[in-house]
Amino acid sequence: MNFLNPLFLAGLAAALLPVVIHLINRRKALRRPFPALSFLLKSQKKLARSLKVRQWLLLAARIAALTLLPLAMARPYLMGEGEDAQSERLPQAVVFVVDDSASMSWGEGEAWRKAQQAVAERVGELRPWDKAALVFASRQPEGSKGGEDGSIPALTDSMGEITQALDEHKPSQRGTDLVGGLRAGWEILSGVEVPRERIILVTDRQKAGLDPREVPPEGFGVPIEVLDVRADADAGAPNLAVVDASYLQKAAGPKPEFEIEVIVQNFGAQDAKGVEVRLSLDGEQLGSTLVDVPAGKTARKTFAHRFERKGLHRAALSLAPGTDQLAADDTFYLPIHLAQKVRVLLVNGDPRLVAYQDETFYLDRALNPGADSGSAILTESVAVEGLASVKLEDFDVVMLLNVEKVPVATVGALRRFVEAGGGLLFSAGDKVVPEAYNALFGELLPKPVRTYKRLTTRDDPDAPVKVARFGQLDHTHPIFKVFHLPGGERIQSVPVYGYVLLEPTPDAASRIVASWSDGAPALVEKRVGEGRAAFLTTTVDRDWTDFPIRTAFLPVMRRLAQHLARRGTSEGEQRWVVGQPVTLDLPDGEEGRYELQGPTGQRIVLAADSAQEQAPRRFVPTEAGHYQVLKASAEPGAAAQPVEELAFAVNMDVAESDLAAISKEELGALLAGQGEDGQPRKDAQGSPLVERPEKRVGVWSLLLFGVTLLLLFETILGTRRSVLLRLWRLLTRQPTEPAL
Amino acid sequence: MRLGGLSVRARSVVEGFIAGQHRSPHRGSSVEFAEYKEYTEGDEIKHIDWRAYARFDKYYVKQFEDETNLCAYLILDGSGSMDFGSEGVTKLDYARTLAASFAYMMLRQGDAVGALLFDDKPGLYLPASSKTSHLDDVLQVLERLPGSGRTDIAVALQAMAERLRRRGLVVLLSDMLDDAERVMNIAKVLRKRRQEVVVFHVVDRAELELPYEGLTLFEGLEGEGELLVEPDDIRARYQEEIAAHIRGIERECRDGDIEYFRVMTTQPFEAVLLDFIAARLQARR
Repeated sequence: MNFLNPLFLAGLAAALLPVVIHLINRRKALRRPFPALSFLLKSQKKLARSLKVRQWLLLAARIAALTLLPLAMARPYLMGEGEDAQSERLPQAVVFVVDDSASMSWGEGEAWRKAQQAVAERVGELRPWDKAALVFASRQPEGSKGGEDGSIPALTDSMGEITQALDEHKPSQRGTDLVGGLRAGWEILSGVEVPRERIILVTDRQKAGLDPREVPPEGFGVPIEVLDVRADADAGAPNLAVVDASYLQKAAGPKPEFEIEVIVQNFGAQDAKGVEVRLSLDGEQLGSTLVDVPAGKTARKTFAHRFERKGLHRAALSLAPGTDQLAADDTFYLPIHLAQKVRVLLVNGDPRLVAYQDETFYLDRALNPGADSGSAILTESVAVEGLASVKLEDFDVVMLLNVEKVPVATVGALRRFVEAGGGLLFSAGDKVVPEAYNALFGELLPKPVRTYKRLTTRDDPDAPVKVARFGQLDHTHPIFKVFHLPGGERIQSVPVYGYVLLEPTPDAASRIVASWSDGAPALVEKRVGEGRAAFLTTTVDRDWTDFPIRTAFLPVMRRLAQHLARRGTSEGEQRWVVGQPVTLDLPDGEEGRYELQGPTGQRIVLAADSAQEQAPRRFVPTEAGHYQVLKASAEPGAAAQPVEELAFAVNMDVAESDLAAISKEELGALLAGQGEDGQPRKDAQGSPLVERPEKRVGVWSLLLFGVTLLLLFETILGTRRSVLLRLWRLLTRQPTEPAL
Repeated sequence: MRLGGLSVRARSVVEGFIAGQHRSPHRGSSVEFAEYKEYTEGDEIKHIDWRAYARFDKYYVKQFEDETNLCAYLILDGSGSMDFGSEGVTKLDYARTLAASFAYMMLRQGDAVGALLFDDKPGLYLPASSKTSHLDDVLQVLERLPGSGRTDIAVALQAMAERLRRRGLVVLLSDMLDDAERVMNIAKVLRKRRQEVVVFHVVDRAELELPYEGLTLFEGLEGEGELLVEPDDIRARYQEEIAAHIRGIERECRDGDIEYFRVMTTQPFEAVLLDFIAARLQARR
């Protein structure tokens, strides 16, 4: 604390006066004989405590008043951040660059309120001839126009507009972009003819929001005043965030089982124990789990869920409310797409003119009994020659049925297809030549083919004893699980007249799912990359077996197709972030208008990015959540229909969750840029370009106010009780007590 | 105060209103010997039994039944607290004058008057007599009121009770700054012995109102010590305390069939005596 008139401090000695007067008065007390002293003593004893308190208070009030008065007259002041005296200022242009990133919503908006208050104070200091503008320093989408986010991108002399715009604005969910905001501020000031220009940067100094590489080495060339509105400690600010989530289909079938993994990161310096993470699907909370997240580390948890229906599900992985001070990053949105149909490509290795003799005849009907059946499996048949022209990515399973050989290029495509998650089935037949098969498909085969084994023929009288039947079945496998139930044993009666033998290689990746009664493998599967390959060692027509005409054929083949089908996964899906443009690939050749519906229900019409009719659409999300694309109906008045496969989610920028701060000094040096001498640049007058100028904050008025209050207090306390009593009775119209 | 002054004042107080107003309620019928009593100062010399003197070599005085119309004893508080007066007259002076006036009034109508002075113990005692010349003795005794020491009214009343053999009137003049309950217990004993008891509670206005201002060092008159206090701070509480004390005495007197008169030192003596007489007349009816 400093003083303008320190000489007045000598008056502090007056604080002793009340004590001295008290002592003198004590000596000067009038001696008075009194007969009823015992009654006086009794009265005084009962009042002693309150009298003593009152006397001490009175003494304290008098001492305080006599202390504060000379203090106030010495005109003390504090040095605070601010400007010089207003009278000394010339007209100036000010751009308020306000950080409105997600981190500013910290502490239920505490940081934002501080920012609003700080700007309002600065606006209040401006003179009528000053001009001001308002820019928000969060990551703006490329090509966005100034003012779209509620800012005032041009200088105005209407200061009320600035405060009103800030009052109406809320912290966004975008990432911080201080440099972008400062550049915008600099552009507004460039070319303005006023004696003084400056930028007032209002920020929580989030380190992640300022990439030193983006700051121009020469600085911004305009004085920058930093108003710090950080509401927490610089380092180790506690914050937890759900930074990622993914899903993976574990099992196929009508009610596919999924694993949903969530990653929680602890950005603080303290370990977080027992953090509750919740899973919601389609707006309904399904479960929660507790997770310990060490300081500065991530922790993973997996939820298992079996979906009741196919199609789109909107998942939200979130921390329990109130877990930390920044709620904006506590939820991660994840759309889960469950394929409606399994698409199977049947590669016919032995096409025939007679339908029931065709290799695909039974299998095709088992998988897709007809257009009216509502089957979840769609089949498409192709001859070996046509396989090269098929886009394998459009299918979930490819079945090579008694295929002799395929082009080498196609084998490569098949390998990539399987490795990417697709399913591949080999079925045996007379076209399968072991050596050629092994050479051609190699690692794609669950086991190398050894030879063909013919047991008997259908017209052999001894066939019933020579045939093989299904023997050992792996009932733990999804395909054969149901055959463990009553009635399932009928599969064992299926006769097989011939099959191919596989090499007994000790391949841990291969799994024999079913065997024939003589012990030879009937169905073998192997994981290849993300996908699966399986080998059925007999035919899918009636050449080597009666299996296609047995009741077990249909469920076994359908379950096999579903098991092999591509698993649903979030891997490879595009992750969209608030504030960054989202590009949507709308279906080619579709007519009609597309709309986008955001988390709050607001719809926007997607505009073409270019003059091309079916160009990808772009838009910039402003909030995190689930988005869906709607296709407007051509019929007037009809409601727009959601296009589920185009649904996506937008999440907050993870960088915004790291609340670590850049120090004030470091920030100042960075923004000022470096001069040739390597020191922070200064303006023409030698003042630092980034300043937190100090101003005198007078406190004498406050002290005088305190003196006034103390004197008032002293007056009330020091007034004779009898006077106060009479006054009180007069005010309350109470009658005086009757005398004896 | 000189004896002559007190006498004049007593006479002037009484002469103005007394004639014909007070009649003794007790009528003596005969002069019958009752008992002997050892001679003490103030006894009539003519009542000394010389025969008894011849036999025992001690002075004995004859006591007679219904010797006078009424025998009244004045018991006067001469403690330190009585020596206080905020308005010129101390409580002691006032009580003394009132007692003298009372004695004069009683003697004038032929009643006997005795006196006992006390502070924290019984002091000078004057046996009752109805002789006109007895007034001088009473005044002599009153002049010797000390105005110092502590107060113990109960002891004085007890001493009086021991002395009283016949029905009479006991008049207590005091500021009653004593344990009221203890005092009243003894007074009630007297009352049960068929003594009429009258209390003149002499009060100075300052005792009721504590009218002082400014920091004051109060000194006790009976050695209670000192108290430095701003009177304004404790006035209300003090007034409550003293009022409660006085009301307590009044209540005890009323319950014990004791006549009680609170007498301010500013009150005219005639008015006090008139109040007393009026009260007695009313009681007789």
